[in-house]
Amino acid sequence: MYWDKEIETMSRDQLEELQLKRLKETLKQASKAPFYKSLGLEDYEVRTLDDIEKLPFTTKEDLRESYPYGMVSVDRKDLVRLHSSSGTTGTPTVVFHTIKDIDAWSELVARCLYMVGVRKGDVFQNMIGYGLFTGGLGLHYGAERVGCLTIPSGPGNTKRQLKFLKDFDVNFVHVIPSYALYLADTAESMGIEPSRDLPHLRTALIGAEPHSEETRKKIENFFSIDAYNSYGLSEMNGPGVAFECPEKNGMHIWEDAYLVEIVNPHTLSHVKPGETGELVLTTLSREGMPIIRYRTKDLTSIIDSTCACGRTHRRITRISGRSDDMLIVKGVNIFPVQVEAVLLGTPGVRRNYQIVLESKGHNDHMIVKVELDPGMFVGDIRGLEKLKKSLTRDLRDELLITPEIELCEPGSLPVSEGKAVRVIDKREE
Amino acid sequence: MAHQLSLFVENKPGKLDRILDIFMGLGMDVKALTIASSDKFGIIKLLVDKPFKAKEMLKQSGFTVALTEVVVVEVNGIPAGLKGITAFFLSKNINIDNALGFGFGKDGSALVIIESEAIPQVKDLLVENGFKVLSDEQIYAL
Ligand SMILES: [Zn+2]
Repeated sequence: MYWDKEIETMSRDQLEELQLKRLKETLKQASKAPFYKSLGLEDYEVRTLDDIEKLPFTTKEDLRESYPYGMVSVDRKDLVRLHSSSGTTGTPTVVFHTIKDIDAWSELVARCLYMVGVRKGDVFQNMIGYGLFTGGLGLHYGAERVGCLTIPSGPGNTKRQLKFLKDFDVNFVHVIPSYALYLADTAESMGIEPSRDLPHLRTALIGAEPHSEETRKKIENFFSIDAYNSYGLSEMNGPGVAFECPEKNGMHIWEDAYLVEIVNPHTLSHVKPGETGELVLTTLSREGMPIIRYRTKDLTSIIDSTCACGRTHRRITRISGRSDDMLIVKGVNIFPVQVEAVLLGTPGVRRNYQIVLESKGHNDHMIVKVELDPGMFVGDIRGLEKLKKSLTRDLRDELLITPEIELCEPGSLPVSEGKAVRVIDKREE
Repeated sequence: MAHQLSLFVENKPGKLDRILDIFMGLGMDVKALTIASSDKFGIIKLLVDKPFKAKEMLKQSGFTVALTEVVVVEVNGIPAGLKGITAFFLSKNINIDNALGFGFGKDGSALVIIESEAIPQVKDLLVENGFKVLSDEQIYAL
């Protein structure tokens, strides 16, 4: 039931004792890095876990400015791996690992996999990007640690993906949710019936992209599998930071490896228990590149209650958005995932969409482009007008502003096989 | 029942051109054509001689296409002949979704394509009441 029972079910007191011990070690280790040396990190005194609030934050900009080696706290000869975060322009942010770091990371991922029923002998197809991106190699190492036959397929080449799933009796996959939906569409058009043609497939690990509960349900229903939400970011290793257990109610965040804080993104002080705020993480077991109080920009909240699965590590709720992804339209905070949720609940349109923001005079104007579902088209213009009206109404109820709906031909909007790019902001500054 | 093609297209140049290209490639005959535009999209309706084959080909070319049932009635001129039909529908409280008159002959006769939600009943009613309703073969052979 547990990959590492002692750690995963440790009492709260023991866990916090372990955290404090590791936090002190981490501070000592981090102080060796040029960046933290310049901050005078070694002068901060930490006696309790609450003292974390006295420490300085680390931001993505800090990592960028420390490029290339400014965050490294070991002899460079001890580094064995470099990863870089995805989707950045300009100077990348890089993260380094020692052999011990890779080992610890693999253990965390193995813990996640074991938690959702993955066992030695299972076949695993890893449809997430390899290379600099952490999603591929992170899961790869974890799955091999558990003892799975691991297929490093990466994303794309959808027809081959489906062939492999079938031919190798694949049991579980790791996939970006938007690609899982695309895979479902492709399977459907190829006449693949998952319960008949993919009888061995039982689990999908989905992450690396914000998605709604409806998306999870769609993936689960189409493939007749369980889909578990995964959370990670390259600065904190990558996948394996937090993961859903079979209860599917929040993601256990491995508190022996990460110290968790939730702060108000404006005041930067801790929010009240259970409130939503920005997730701030401190690595507790990394030697090559420890990071103190990293501002993830991910918005979430902590679930403090005990979990039926018996793990004592607290859970975080589904990421409700990134402060970066958040759009402010007519003064209202909007997350693209809200639009996605409405579209998934609307028969007649497909899942693909694009948000275009324009200035009309001094006002913001929001256009939501959606693709018509060809299967639902019956040939009359009145039906389309009705669809537009009901979509406008549902989006207004969800977003609190009224968007303009533009119906597009199926296949005319860009499809994402990787991270979805869905927002075009043409507003004047 | 005769069928007419209905295509959903974005209002962008070249759409109709592509459709006609496909038809010409198939040697397909277009009997009638209408375009109804909304703001950013339109519906193109086409009466052709082989609607089912045309639908398949258009679908394969990526078009969003549906078939709708229609009746074609021969009337003695417009407006007089057409008025006979509209008055008849009014008396039966049937709503006409769309009507297109075409094929005006020298003798003043015209053909009217009628769309309605209740096409099979409409067709029966028209026949029962002495209107000249064209058979499917007659329509496709126009
Ligand atoms: Zn649990």
